[in-house]
Amino acid sequence: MIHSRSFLVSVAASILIILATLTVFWTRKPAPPPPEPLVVAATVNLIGMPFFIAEQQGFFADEGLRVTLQRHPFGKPALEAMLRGEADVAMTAETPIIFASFKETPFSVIAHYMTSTEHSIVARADRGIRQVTDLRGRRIGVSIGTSAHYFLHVMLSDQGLTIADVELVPIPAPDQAAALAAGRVDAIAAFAPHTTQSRVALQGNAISFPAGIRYTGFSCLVASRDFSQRRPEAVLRLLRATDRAITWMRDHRQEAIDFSARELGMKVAEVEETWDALRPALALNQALIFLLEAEARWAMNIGLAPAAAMPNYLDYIDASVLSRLRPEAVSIIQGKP
Amino acid sequence: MNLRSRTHLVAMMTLLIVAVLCSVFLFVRLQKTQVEREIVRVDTLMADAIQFRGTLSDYLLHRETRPRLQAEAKLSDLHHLLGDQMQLTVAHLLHDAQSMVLWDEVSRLLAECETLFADLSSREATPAPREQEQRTADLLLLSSESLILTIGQIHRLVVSDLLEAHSYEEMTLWTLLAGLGGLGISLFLLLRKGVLVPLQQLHEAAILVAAGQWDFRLHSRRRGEFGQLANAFDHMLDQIQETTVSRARLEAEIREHQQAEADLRASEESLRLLFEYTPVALAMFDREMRYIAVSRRWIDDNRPFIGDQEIIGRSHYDLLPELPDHWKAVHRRALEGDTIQIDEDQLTRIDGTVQWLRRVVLPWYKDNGVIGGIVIFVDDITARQQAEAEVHRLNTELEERVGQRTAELVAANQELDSFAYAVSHDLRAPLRAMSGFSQALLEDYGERLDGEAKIYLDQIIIASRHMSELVDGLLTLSRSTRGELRRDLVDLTALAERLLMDQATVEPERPVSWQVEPGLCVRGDPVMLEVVMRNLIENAWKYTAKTPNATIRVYSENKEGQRCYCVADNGAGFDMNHANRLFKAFQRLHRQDEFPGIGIGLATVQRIIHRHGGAIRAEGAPGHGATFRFTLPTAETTSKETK
Repeated sequence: MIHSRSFLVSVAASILIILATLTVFWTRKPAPPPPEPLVVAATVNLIGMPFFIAEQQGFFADEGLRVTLQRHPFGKPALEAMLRGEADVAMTAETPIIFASFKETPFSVIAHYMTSTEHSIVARADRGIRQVTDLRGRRIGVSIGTSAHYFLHVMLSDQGLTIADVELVPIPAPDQAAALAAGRVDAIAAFAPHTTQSRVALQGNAISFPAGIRYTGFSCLVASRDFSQRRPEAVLRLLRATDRAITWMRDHRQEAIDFSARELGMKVAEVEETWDALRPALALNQALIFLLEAEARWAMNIGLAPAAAMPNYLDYIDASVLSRLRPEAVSIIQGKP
Repeated sequence: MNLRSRTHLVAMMTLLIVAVLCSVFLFVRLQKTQVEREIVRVDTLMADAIQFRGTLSDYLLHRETRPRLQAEAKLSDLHHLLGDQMQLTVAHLLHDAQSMVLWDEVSRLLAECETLFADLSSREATPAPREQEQRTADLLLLSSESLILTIGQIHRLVVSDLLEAHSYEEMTLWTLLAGLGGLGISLFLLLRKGVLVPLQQLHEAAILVAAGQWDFRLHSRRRGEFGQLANAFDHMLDQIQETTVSRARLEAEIREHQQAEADLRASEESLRLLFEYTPVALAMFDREMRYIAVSRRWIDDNRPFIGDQEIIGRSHYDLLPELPDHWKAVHRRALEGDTIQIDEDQLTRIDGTVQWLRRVVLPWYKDNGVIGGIVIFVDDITARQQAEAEVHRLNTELEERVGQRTAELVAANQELDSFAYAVSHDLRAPLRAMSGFSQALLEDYGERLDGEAKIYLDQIIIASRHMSELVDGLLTLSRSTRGELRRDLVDLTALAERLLMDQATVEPERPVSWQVEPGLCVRGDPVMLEVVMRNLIENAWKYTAKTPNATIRVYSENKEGQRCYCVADNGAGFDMNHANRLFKAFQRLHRQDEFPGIGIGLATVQRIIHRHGGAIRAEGAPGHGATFRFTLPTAETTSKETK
């Protein structure tokens, strides 16, 4: 009996020693490499939130990145900063991309991380505007060259109208709410949070025409053409941190809304209005090519871009990194080089 | 815990383990079945989405009723399928956020497709703006494509779930099998430990005990029924062994007792026989002087007084009423513990013969140490007394004869002395005359004598001198065996030194070295010992005459337990084969012209040593010197001899 007890004690002690050794072995990670610096030109609006959340939750640090977020009001200046070399990666909607493509500036879309139907036209009801067709001949404020500009074209053309049927008033997005409230324009075409700010400014006098399914904007991550080849691991870590932030946003909806409200200086209710119009997901869809080409044709038709041959936007897509991270998320059919 | 409780516990544990394992397996199996159903549904959804995409393309190309209806039918199928699917899968996939997002996306895309297709088909009657229609068509194509791709992603997830469920099922099955196997082994081990082994031990114990190993015990430390059974078994063996051992011990004691009785009887018989037939008169009495045992010799010796009547049990004093009082007093002393021995007691018998007796009266003791009576021992020593008287008579006669012979010997010695003196004295005178007249003739008439005559005269002188030496030697030899032998302390070292110095003085040209051990003292006749030492030293001196670096040593040594005194030299030595001739008179081992001598010295030495009671021995080898060792009795030995 004593022998068997001693034997059991010996066996238990041996198992504990082995487990302790294995635990020490498994938990002993190699010293992490120093964080890799990365400058991201971010937009201070709802579509930029995944990056601010990733920074706030420490996902960048977890992935070994030391990310510097440049704060830009919307995608167009962010893209321009990247193109000037002030940032490694920029987040922007598809419209600034097509304008940049006409300048033959070499860059690549490495992923789109969010699609949204947040765009809308906010009009003054006191100007007798009840439906989109009532916009004929009205003064519409818009930020020229942005996705809101193309969105306005979609909304008008769906109703058989053209840009020529209305009077476009170029107004920077942050100033649109004030201009609408002051009556300098009858309506504005914009994206959140400016649409919300405009509705709030008009109080009960606002009438909105949301994009619905007629226009879906793509929020893209853009880098210089060779960036993915030069620093593929940095891009991979950036995409992985972004993916974690997106998952966190899905799993912590209210916390994400509260954080966005604080970050953008908005009320929570205002953020919630638009929140469900955002569909965060890392992907490279065929729809992006469709949209880029459609917007390119539009830009050439209205003279915002030189009438030239349609750029091959497959050349502006770099799916190499995303294919490693989420191969099922790449649905763009890339032709053979 | 007893066996019954243990059995119940094991049964319950077994049921519990089997139930848990089976439940886990069934749960996993159900999950797998659920996933398999979902795969079927997702496959159906995928087929419908692809068919919708096909009819949509057909409709966009031809804008006819048939493809429109087909597309609408497919949209309707998808709608219903997705509605059912959602209800069925939400519960299952609630934990999978990614799947939920994809299902939401499918629903959204389907809704978009429905809206866009409805928008497109509603414009058949009223054509829409071309760009708007084109955009709607594009959006439809993109949405339907996204729908298919998203369903494909769900398909992959479900397949992944299926593989996982399959893996779980397999793992659970193996776990179940391993669990059942382990359970079986555990049950076997428990059964073996708890039942089979104890039973086997009991079985073996019973066989051993049956074979006679009563000392065997189980000494079980088990608890429960088998432990109690083993303890009871041991206890039973204890009792059986105790009974068996007691019986065996009793039987052994009886046997020992019987043997002791037999031995006692034999001993008594032996004692009786010994007593009866012992060749001496022996009687054993109790405290009242009643006969207990008596030897035949006793009866024979006392037959004149007691006749042939039976005496055992009767009082000695009754049988011999005239026994003197001093004997009764002796008996009383013995009864008080004294032992009385009378070595020589003369008894004059009735017939007038004298008998010498040795009597011993001593007490005998009982086991408790109390004197039980006395034993009287009477031994007839008449024959011994007669033998002693004869010896005494013979001794006296012998002493008388010795005295007579001694007187005769003294007279003979005196005669021999006289003869020796006469020989020496009477022979010396003619020898001196021969030598003296030869010398005178040579001195007075030598000139007239021719050479040969002179030689003859010289030979006469030499022969006379040699004769004289022989006479001296014989006289010395004669004296050595006569006269009183004194036992004085003699300093042998000083004697040897003096004699050696004398030799060196006579022949100073000889380079002889000598070593004399200091402190050599012996007890003997000084004059005779000087004769001994002079002969030995002169011999040594003489026989080293032709030896360079001549050395003479006088020393003592212990040999064979005796103290030997040695005179050794490194001279001519002798052949040991002739050693027995050395000590005989007139026997010489060397030629006269080599080493002159008369051959009496060593004979004289041996006689003197023998007369002292010692011994002498010579060792040597030709050319390697000689050693003479003699012993002399020590003072103690001498004293005994003197006595």
